[in-house]
Amino acid sequence: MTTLTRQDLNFGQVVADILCEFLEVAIHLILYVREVYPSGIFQKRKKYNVPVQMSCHPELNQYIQDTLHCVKPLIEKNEAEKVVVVIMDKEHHPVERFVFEISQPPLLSISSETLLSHLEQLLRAVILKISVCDAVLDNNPPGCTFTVLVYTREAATRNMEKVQVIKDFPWIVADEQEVLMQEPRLIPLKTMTSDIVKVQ
Amino acid sequence: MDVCLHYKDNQENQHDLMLITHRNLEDFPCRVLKKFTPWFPSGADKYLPIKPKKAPPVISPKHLKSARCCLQREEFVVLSCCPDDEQFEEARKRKFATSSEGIDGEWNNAQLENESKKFRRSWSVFSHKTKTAESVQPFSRQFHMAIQTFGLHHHQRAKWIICELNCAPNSIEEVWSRLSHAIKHSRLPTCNANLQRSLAQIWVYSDVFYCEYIGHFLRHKLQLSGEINLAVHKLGNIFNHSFLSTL
Repeated sequence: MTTLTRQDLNFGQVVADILCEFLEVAIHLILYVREVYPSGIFQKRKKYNVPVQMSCHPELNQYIQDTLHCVKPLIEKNEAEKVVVVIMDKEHHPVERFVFEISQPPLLSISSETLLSHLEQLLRAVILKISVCDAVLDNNPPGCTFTVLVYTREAATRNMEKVQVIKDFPWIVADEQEVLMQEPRLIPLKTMTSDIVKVQ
Repeated sequence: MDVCLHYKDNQENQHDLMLITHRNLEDFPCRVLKKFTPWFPSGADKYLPIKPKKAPPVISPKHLKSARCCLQREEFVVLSCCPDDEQFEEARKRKFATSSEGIDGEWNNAQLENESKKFRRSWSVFSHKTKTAESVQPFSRQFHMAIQTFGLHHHQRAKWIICELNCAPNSIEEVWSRLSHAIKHSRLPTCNANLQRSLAQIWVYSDVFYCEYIGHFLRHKLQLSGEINLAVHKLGNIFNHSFLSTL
C-alpha cells in the first residue's frame, strides 16, 4: 500500500479527472431523466458498466465540457466545495437542485488494485440513483433550462481568475434569485466515501 | 431540573429564603446583538456560487426533427440559435457551403436531399441467420501463417479496411450499399460493417475464422481493386489483399 499526501504531484489531478468525468456523466443523465431536453437528442451509452444516457447534440456537449473544464482547476486545488446542477423554470427560478458536495481527505491511501474498481462501484451506485430519482421527484414545468453553480471554499470573486480557463467562456457570480429556492425539500440520493473523494 | 436548598436550623423565615433563591436562579439578562455586517466587500459574495455567464443551448422539440438527420454528421450544424425552421435551413445550407464539398458551387435542394440520404446509415443491419450460400474454404498457407505468427484465436474479431480507392470505378456508397445488402441477407458469416464517412473507409468486421472467406467475397463480389488490409485490434495490419491475390 502506498500513501500519498495532497502535496504529491498528481493527487489533485487524479481526483479532478475522476470527478469531472463522473460529473459529465451525471449532468447528461440528469438532463435526460428530468426532461430538460427532448429525449431524442440522447443516446444510450455505457459508463461504469451501467447504461447511461448521453446527449449527442454537439453544442450542448460542448457547453458541458467547457463548464467542467473550467471547474477542474478548482477541484484540483480542493477549492470547490459543491457543484450544483440547477434546473430552472422559464422565469429562471430554481425548481430543482442536484447538489454534489465534494470533500477530499488530507491523506490518500492508494492501493492501485482496489482503488479504481472500488471507486467505480461507488460512482456507479450514484449514477444508478440519479437514473431512478424521477420516482421521488415531481414533474418539472415545461420549458425548463439548467445551469451549473460552483460553490467555492473561499469568496467566489477570489476564484474567478482560476475558472476563466476558456477565453470565450466567462464566469460570473450567480444571482441570489438563482440560488434560493422557495420551500425547498431535501431528498438525499446517495453518499459515497472513497479513499480519494467523498461525494454526497 | 431540581434545586435543593440547604439552610441552617437557626434561620426561621423560610419564605425569605425561597425568595432569595428564586432571585438567584433568574435568567441572566440577554442582550440582543446586532447582526454583523462586514464593512469590506470581499466577503460579501462568500456564499454566492459562480456560474458560466453563457446560458446552455435551447433545443426545442420543434427543431429536433430537423436536427436528427444532422446528428449523424461529425460536423454538426448549430441548431439552437435558429428561432424557426427557415433560419435552421439557411444555417444548414451555410454550413454545407463552407464544407469542402460545397466550395466549388452553390448547394441546391436536390444536393441537400442527397446529402441527407447519403448520411442515413453508417452501420450494417445484422441478421441472426447463420446460413451461408457458399461453403467456407480452409485457410490458405499464408493466412494460416499469419494466424500462427500473431497467435490469433478463431473467434477473435478482425476487420478488413476498404478505402475509397479500392472501390473505383464504383463509389464507396455503392460498395457500402451492396455490402450492407450481403450482410443483411446472411451471406457473410459473423460479419458486421461500418462506413467511416469521415475517413472514406468501410470497416468490415468478422471472426478470424471467416476472414479469408470474407476477403475473397469482398474482392470478387464487390469488385474491389488494389490492396485491402486486414487489421486486428492492438496488432494493426496483419494481412493484406496482395496475399489473397496470390492464392
